[in-house]
Amino acid sequence: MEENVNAAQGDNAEVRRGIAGVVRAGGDATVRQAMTVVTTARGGATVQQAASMAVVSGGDTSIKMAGAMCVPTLGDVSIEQGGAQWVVSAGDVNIDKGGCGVAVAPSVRVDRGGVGAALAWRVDVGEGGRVLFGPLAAAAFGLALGVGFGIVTVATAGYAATKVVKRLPRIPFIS
Amino acid sequence: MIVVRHTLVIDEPVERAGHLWTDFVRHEIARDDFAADEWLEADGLHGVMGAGDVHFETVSVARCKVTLTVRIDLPPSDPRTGPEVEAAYRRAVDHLDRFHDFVAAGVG
Repeated sequence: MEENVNAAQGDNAEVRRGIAGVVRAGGDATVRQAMTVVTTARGGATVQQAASMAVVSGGDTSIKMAGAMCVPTLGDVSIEQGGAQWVVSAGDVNIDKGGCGVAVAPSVRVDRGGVGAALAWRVDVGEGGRVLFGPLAAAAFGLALGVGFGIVTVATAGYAATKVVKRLPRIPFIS
Repeated sequence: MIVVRHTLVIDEPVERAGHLWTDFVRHEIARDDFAADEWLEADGLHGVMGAGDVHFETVSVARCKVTLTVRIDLPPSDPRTGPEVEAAYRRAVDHLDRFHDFVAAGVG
């Protein structure tokens, strides 16, 4: 596993067929057929046939045949044949053949996909699109919040436990 | 604002699609079982568009894409919004299916 991938200011970063912890790009970040924990980019981010816990970008984000848990971005977000739990975008969100738990954006457009809760000025429901409204949306929002909080808690607790165990070298079953 | 959208492609050039749509609206209003809704309202002798919009886009020389959209003025938190979105989408599909049949039959 590559621990971290860092690209210099203005440089692009690409992870292809691997596992990485944190990917930091001064320009664009691309993750293809790989898994990352956190992907950050000052420019755009592309996650294709891959998975990332969090994709943070200053430009447009494209998630194609991929999954992400949390996607905060300053540009547009496009999800195609993929899914994300949370999308918080300053630009528009387009979902085609995909899904999203909660989308917070000025505009959310859904074709052949579903959104649990869309918090947007404009929600555009196209062919095969499904967006929950009313109490169902509130339930989806709560579920996404609970699951997200749970995953973060487990990950944090796991990391903390690992650190604590490493400081206890005398325990016989720990090599 | 919630917008429901449905699209289909017809075998007519975009130049003719607008005229065909006008003929379709007249034809729909002239039906005995006509019921006004988001797209079609009886306004005296003329059919006018309601809260919906129709948009024509070229696909090829002989084909065009017709997109029907309607705005739903209900807040997302309203329990009636979900069923209303579903119903509006079904009505949009029905409208465009009828338009497709109208074009295919060559009534216009």
